[in-house]
Amino acid sequence: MKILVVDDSLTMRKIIVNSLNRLGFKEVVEADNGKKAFETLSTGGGADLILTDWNMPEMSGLELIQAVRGNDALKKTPVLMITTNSAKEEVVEALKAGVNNYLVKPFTPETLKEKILAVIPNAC
Amino acid sequence: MDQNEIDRIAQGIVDTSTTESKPAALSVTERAEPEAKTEMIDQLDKVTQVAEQETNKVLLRMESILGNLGSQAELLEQVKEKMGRKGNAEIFCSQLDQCLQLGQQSQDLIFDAMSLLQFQDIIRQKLEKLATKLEDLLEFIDTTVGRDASGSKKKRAHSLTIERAGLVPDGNKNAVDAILAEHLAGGK
Repeated sequence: MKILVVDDSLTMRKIIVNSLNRLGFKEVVEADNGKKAFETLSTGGGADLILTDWNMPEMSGLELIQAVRGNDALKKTPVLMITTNSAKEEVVEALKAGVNNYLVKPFTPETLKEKILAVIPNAC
Repeated sequence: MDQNEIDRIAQGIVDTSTTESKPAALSVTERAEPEAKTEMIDQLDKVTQVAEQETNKVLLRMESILGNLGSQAELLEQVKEKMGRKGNAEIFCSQLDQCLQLGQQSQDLIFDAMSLLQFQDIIRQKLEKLATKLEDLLEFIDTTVGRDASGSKKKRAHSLTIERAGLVPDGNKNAVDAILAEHLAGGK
């Protein structure tokens, strides 16, 4: 199972990648903004799951979701947003954009697992 | 603030006090505020950058420790397997199990500590938001009062202080040693 982790913070990417490895996901690809993530998805044959931050330079997580949902080859890819944005209207905005689930930072590895399973029931 | 800057401000007070077109205090503010603006935002940016760099250094070391513990566990499993085959090493196998258990507990603790480092990203984003709000506020003040802060000289005194504040091990050692040497030579 290939997972794409998108976050402009190297610290967060390391934490998320370590959490995923611990959950048994070994094929993890990283990108530090939405634009690079979309390029990776377009040229690298997509991903089985996208975990993305919201606030990033170049292209935000929300814009990435919109781009993914607007692309025929990628539009069915499950997306889990991991962000500090926790206002109700923000969560609603993300859901409207097409996010499958939403995780607020800081999070525990258990919650990450729970959210991944909510998006892909037999993932781990 | 260097002497030229002080002189310029002092000159500004003299100029405005003679023409009486503006209060002297406003003229001082006009000169000082753009620098204060860029300095504040600059400092916030620098704090977030330095904090992220240092957090990543901690993470790298934690990853190394996790790797070592993983390798250690593999070796212990191999030893345990070899001893077990001989059939007379139950007591050693029990101790090896304890070692493996302790190693696993250490890995769990390190992993928990890594997760706790998320605070850095959260604080970074809060500071970035604060910097943006601050910038907006100062732009509003500039617009309202009719000032333009663009192109002002940036002051980095505090940022440089942060960089010098012992973030690199032994980073100041040579400088301190040189001062000590000079002091000792002078005392002779």
